Amino acid sequence: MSQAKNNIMIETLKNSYTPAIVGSILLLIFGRVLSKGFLSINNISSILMMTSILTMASIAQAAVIISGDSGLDMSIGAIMSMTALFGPMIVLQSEGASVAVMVIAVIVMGGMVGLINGIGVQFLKVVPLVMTLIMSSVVNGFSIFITKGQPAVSVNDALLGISKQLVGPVRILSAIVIILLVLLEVFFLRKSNYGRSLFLVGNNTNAANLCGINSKWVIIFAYVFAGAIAGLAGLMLVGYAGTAQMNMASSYTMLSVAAVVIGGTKLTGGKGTFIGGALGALVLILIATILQALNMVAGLRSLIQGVILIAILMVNSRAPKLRQ
Amino acid sequence: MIKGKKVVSQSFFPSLLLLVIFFAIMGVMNHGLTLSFVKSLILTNTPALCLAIGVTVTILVGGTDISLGSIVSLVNVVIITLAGLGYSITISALIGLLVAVICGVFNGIVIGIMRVNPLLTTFATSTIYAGIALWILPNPGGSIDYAFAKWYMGGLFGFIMTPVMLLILLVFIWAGAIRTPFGLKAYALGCNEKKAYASGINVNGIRVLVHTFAGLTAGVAGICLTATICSGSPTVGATMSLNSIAAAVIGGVSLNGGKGGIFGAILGAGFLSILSSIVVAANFSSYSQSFIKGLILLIGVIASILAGDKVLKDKIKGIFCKGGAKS
Amino acid sequence: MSLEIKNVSKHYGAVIAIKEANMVVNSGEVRAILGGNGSGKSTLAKVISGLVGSNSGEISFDGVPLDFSSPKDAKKHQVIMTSQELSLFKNLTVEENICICNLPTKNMMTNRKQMKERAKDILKRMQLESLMGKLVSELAPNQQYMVELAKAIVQEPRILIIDEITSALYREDVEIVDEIVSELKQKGCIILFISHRMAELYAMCDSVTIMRNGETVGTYPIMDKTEDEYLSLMIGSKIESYHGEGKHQEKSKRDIFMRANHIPIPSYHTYEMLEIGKGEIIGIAGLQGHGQTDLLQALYGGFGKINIELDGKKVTVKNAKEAVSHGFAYISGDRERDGTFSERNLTENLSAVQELVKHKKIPNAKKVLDELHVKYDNQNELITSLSGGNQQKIVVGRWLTASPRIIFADDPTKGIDVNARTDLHKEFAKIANNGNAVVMISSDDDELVSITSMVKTSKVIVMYEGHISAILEGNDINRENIFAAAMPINAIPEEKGAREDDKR
Repeated sequence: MSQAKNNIMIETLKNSYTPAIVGSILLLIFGRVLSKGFLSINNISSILMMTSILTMASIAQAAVIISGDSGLDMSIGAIMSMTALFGPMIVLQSEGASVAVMVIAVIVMGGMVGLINGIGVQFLKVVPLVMTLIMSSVVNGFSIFITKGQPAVSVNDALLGISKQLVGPVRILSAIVIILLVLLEVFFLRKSNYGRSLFLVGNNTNAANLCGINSKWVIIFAYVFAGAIAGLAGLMLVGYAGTAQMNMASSYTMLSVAAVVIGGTKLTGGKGTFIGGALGALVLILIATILQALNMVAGLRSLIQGVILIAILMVNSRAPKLRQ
Repeated sequence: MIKGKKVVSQSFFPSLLLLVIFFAIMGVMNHGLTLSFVKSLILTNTPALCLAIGVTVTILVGGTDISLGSIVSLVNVVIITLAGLGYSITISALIGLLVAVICGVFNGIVIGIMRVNPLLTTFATSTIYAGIALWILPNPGGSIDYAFAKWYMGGLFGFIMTPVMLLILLVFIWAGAIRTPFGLKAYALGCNEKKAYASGINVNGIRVLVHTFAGLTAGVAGICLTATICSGSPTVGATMSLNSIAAAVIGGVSLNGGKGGIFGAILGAGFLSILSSIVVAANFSSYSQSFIKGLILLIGVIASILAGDKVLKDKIKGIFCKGGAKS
Repeated sequence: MSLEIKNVSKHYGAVIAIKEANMVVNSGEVRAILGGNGSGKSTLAKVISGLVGSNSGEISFDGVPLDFSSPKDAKKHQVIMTSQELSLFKNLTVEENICICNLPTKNMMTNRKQMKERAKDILKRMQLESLMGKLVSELAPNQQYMVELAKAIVQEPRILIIDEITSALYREDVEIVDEIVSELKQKGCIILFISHRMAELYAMCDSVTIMRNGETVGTYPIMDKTEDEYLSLMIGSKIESYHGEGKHQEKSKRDIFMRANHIPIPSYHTYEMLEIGKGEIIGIAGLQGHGQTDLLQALYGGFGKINIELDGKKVTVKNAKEAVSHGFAYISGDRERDGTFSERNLTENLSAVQELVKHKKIPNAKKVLDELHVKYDNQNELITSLSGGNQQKIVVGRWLTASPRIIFADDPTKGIDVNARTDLHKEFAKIANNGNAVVMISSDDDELVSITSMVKTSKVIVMYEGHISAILEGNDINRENIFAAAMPINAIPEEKGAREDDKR
C-alpha cells in the first residue's frame, strides 16, 4: 500500500506540470494575502482572460518548439499585432458574419506568415531563431506600411462581446480558449497522426525520415499552425483590449516561450504539451497581476518579473550536469 | 590568385560582398562619398558594431545573448543620471562601463555555472536590466555636457576618431584572447560541449569569460550611444539585440557555434548600417521604410546562408570547373 | 607500481552500471576488458578517467588514492582516456585537436610552431604526416580514430584507456597501434584496452578482465582461454560459436525479385548494379567506408530518384516515403542517429512506420514485443530505459510490423550483445524464408558468413572503393575469400597514390 502511495508521490513530483501548478497555487494565496479583492469574480475573470490570450500564443509556440531542430517562433508577437490591426478592418453588414470572416481571415494571414517561416527554415536552411526574428520585423514593417502608422480601427461590438458576455461563470473568450485547448491537446497533438509524427520528427528527424515520414512538411506545418493560432490570438487580443495599436502584442513572443518552458516543455523538441503552456501562462499572468496590484512602478515590476523568471529557469530548466 | 581564393572561401565573404555592393550603391545614390558622410556613418553605427562583436563571441561558444540591447539602455541611463547628479563625465562613463561588465558577469554565471539555456537566461536578464533602466529613469530626458559628444567626435591624430579607436580596442582584446589557448578552447566548446569537458577544458570558466566580454562590448556601445544622443532613454537599446544577431548571421557566424569570427560580424553590422541609411536616403515613404528594411534583411540573411551552404558551393564550383575545362 | 580498483560501484538513478568492480593492473601491463553491452566496461573506463564519479569504492595508483573531480584533474595525473564518441572537434585542424588538452604557450599566447612540431612528431610515428593542417571534418573515419589516439599519446599517459577505438581501423592502422602500445608498455604505462575484436586482443594484450552485468567476473592471462571460452564467460552460459562456414547451400537458381542497374555511389562517383532474388539474404562486406552504406542508401532513395525493377515492373524510388510504399525497410546500426526516438515510449517507437506512414493499426503491440523477446517493464516507458540490444529489437520490430518485402540493414547488430544478435539473425532469416529479401552490411565478416548460411539462397558481395570486387556464393563464402576481396593485393599503395594525386 505505502509502496503504491510512494510511487504515486514520485510520479506526481516527476510530472512536468507540478512546478507550474504549485506556482499558481502559491501565487493565488499570495495574491489573496496582499489584497482581499484578488480572488473576486471580476479579478479572476480578467486574469483568466489575459491567461487565455497568452495560452493561445503558447500553444503556437509549443507546436514549433516540439517540432525540434532548435525550433522557435519569434514572430508570434508580430503576427498577433498584425492580425489585431487588420482583423477588425473587415466590416460586413452583419456584425456576427464579419466576425466569422475575421476569424477565417486572421487564420489565413497568420498561416501565410508561418508558411514563409517554415519554408525559410526547412528549404532555405535559415536557423529558426533568425528566420522568425527577421520575419517579425518584416511583418511589423508590413503593418506600418499598410496602416500608414495610424491604427485607427474601431472594433465592432460582436468582437468586443467575446470579453464581455458570459457563458456560465466565465466569459466567452476564456470558454472558447479552454475548449480549444483541450481539443487541440487531445485530438490534434496526441491522437492525430500528424501530432504523433510531430513528436517523432522533433525527437529525431533523421530516424523519422528513414521511417518514411516527410519531416520537412511536418515541420513546415508546425510553423503554419503556429502562425494560424497566433493570428487567432491577435484577434482575441484586440477583442479584449477594445482598440488596436502598433506592435501591441510584441511582448507575447518571449512570454510565450517562457510559458511553454515553465509548463515543462524542453527546448530540444520531441516532447511537450499544450496544457503545460497554459499553466505556464497562468503563472506569468498571476505574477504580472500581483505586481500591478502592489502598485509598483513599471520599471520595478519588470525587474521583479525578470528575477522571478530567472529563479524559475534555475529550478526548472538547467542543463544536466556534465559530470554524472 | 591563391590569396583571392582564400578570401572567397572564408565564412565572412558573403558579408564582405554585400558590404561592398551596398557601399557602392550608396555612393551612386549620394553622387560620390564624402569623408564627412563616412565619418557620420561610423559615428552613428559604432554601437551596433560593438554589439555585433559581443553577440558573436557568445554565439561562437554555442550560446547567444539577447540582453545586450537592454544593457546598452541601462548604461545610457546610468551615465545620464550620474552626470545629472554632478559626477564628472569620465567617472559616469566608467561606472556605466562597470555596470555593463557586471551585467555580463551575471549572465555568464547563470549560463555557465547554473547551466540555464542562454536564450532564456538572457531573455530574463534583459527584462531585469531594462526594468532597472526604467526604474532609474522612467521617462526619456536628461542631458550631459556637450564635451562628451566632442570627445566622441574628436580625432586623436587629426583623422582617427574615438569610435574607431574604441572598436579597434575591442577587436584587439578579442584577437589577443583567441591567440591564447583560451581561443582554441572556446572554438572547441562551440563545437561540442561534452567533448570539450572530456578534453579537460574549463567549460564554465570560458562561458563566464565570454559573457563578461559581451557585457564589456555592450558597455562600450552604451558609452558611444550616449555620446551620440547626449540624452537618456530607458528603451534606447531595445531593438539593438536582434539586429546584432542578424549581423552575426550575415557575417557567416554559425548559430550552432564554433564557426565564424568577429570580423564577419563587423562586416555584417556594417552592411546593416549602410542598408538603413540607404533606405532613409532613398526617399521611400516613412511608412514603408521598416518593411523594405525587413525584406532586404531577409534577403541578405538567406543569401549569406545559401552562400555558406557547402553543397550549393560545390555545385557552383562544379559549374566553374567545367567551364574552365572547356575554355 | 600498480593500478588498484577496489569495490567500485556506480549507479545512474536506479540503474546499476558497475557493481563492486575489482581489478589490479601492474605497470607495463596491457589489460583487455571484455564484456557484452551494458556490462559496465565503458562506465568503468569513465570512472577511472574522471568523466563520471563513482558512488563507492576506491581507486589507487602506486598506493595513492585517485579521486578525480573532472577529466581535467585526471589529465593532470596523466590518466588519459580515448574513446570514439568523446574526442575530436570537427571545426579544428588535426594539430589543434592533438594538442588541445595541453596547448604550448609563449608569453601567454598559443605557440603554434611548437604545437605543430609536437603534432608532427607523433603523426610521424603513426605514419600519418599527410594529415597535418587538415580539418578533422575532412578525415575518413579510420583517420579520425588514429588522430584520437595521437591526441591521447601526446599527453604522455601513465594510465591509458582505449575504448573501442580500433573497431573502425584498417589492418595496417592496427599494426601501428600495436607498435605504439608496445612502446608505451616498455615505458611502464598501464593500458586498459576495451575492444570486441578478439584477434587484436590476443595480439596486443597480456591479460584480460571479464565483466558481466557490472561485475568483474575474473581476470586471466589472455592466452589461457579460447575465444569461445571467453564468450561464454561474458554471457554467463555456454553458447556455440556462430561460424557458418561450410554450411551454405550450393549455388542455386533464384527468382529475380529486384534488379537495379545503375546505383550511384556518391563517395566514389561510381555506379554499381545489384540483383536480389526472392528469399535471398545478401551480405555486403568490405572495409568500412568503401561505398556499402551508399549502395543501400541509394536503393532506399537517399540520393534522389533511382530506377529499379521490382517483380519485373519498372518503378522509381525518389525518397524514403516511396521506398516504404514499395515495401522497403531501412535499419541502421547507428541507433541514436537513425533509429530510436529517445524521448518517446516503446509503443510510439514501434508504431512509427505502420501507423503513421502506412496508416494501418497495429493490433497487438505487446505480442510483437514478446515475439522479439524484448525485455521491458511496460509499454509506456521511454525506449532509452532499455539496453542497446533491446532498443535495436524495437527498431527492427517497427519494420517487421509493416511486413516489409526487402530489408536494407546497415550493420544492424553493431554494438549489441550476442543474444540479441542471434535473435535478430533469426528474424532476418524468417523474413527471407517467407519469400522476401534481406540486404545486410556488416563490419563483422563472421556475422555475414553465419547469417548467409541460415537460408537457401544467399550471397556475399564484397565492396572495394565503390565497386563490387567479388560476389561469393555457396561454399565460397568464408572469411578468407571475403578478406581477400576486401583488400585486393597491391591495391592499397595505389589507393594512397591516387589520393595524393587528387590533392594536387
